[in-house]
Amino acid sequence: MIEWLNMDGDGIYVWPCYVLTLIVLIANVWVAKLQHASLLKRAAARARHNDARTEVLEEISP
Amino acid sequence: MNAFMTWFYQMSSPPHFYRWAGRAIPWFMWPALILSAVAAYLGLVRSPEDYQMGHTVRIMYVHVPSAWLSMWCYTSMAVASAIGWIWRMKLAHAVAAAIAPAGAALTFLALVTGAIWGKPTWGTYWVWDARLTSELVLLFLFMGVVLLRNAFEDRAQGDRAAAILAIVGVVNVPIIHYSVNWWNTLHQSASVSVAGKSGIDSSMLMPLLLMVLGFTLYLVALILMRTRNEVLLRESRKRWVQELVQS
Amino acid sequence: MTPRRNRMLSVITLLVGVSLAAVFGLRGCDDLKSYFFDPSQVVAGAVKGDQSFRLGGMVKDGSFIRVPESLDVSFVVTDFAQEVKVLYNGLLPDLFREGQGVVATGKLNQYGEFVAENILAKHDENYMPPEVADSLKQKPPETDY
Repeated sequence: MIEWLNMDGDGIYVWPCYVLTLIVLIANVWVAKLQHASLLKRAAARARHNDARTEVLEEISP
Repeated sequence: MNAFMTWFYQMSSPPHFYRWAGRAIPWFMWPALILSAVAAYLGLVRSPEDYQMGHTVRIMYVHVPSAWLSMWCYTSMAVASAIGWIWRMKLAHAVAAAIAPAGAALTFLALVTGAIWGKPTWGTYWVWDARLTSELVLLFLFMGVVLLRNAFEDRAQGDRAAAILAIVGVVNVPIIHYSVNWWNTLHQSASVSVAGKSGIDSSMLMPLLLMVLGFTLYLVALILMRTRNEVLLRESRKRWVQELVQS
Repeated sequence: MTPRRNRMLSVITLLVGVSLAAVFGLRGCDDLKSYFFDPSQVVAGAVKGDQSFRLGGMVKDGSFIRVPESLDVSFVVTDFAQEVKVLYNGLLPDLFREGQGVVATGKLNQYGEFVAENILAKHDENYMPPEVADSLKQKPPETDY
């Protein structure tokens, strides 16, 4: 196992490449998911705001 | 052709695209995950060492897919920008906007893994040869497209400016590809070609091609996710979005 | 002409224009984009005076000599048409081999030998396991790199 990780000393070049790639690929998806959640939240807040406004308008109009 | 045009027109409707992409994403992401995992296993465990480079050849299985797909991303972004500009299709601009950061991330990966690979093989992290320099220009182009789009208050104006830069910059893609043939570079020339025999032994070609396929599917999924976000952002005042979050 | 046609035409004009500019722009300064000169160019006198430049090619088989108990080495760089002798004092990259590519930075001395300050290994585009390389050695290798 250690021998495999070490890769005759080349492990110090190989592993950083794979770890970095993994981090960047996961981060891309993670950021996209966070963004999606926050956009939905904002849209929901806007929808509630619009609803409240329609209700007020309905109340004041005879 | 007709069926394709029908599909194309349906897709250009944001709510339709949003629903379709939401269903499609797992169908790309899961195969991408499985293929990449298999390719990484083959590349790190099963594939042999190179007769010259030893184990560092394993860096190829992440470096080459990143580099190829960075160019694929740029070309797709330029095509989407051209469609958006010529046909005034908002969704195409949203796709272009979604690709740019993903492409920048892949270009960054290609550059960094290449630099790490360069140290044990060439004896240096970086040289200013035509291949490395043109790939660095690609990173700046991606970043330029992102910044330019955000520099305008008006979204339509930003889209148009970014589209022009994306289309102009596409000349850099053939330059990157052919740089190793046109000029003397420290970077080696292409090992895999569509026609003719490739310079990679099949035991190494297999994990490489699997990883390329995995990266491609991953990118399609990521771009669909990011395009959905762009659509939500751009259509936040539209009725269908309001209905979507209320249901 | 419809506005759409107009935009399509402007995209095409833009692309053609930029491509032409790129072709002519890149043609102008060839020595800028080529990372190194090959031995044929050097022998033909592409480099003037005692300018520093990069020389690239294959390390000729059987040409590598190390002065005993020192870091002084010499070898011949070839492009299979012309050859240049290289003198160097220092550490060589791990992948420096006879029959493999090399890029050296330095200048020519008065005898037409290349005095290198720095040496990088240039890998070719072939990847294979050692067993395959051994079995290939039985047959004469192709001479284009």
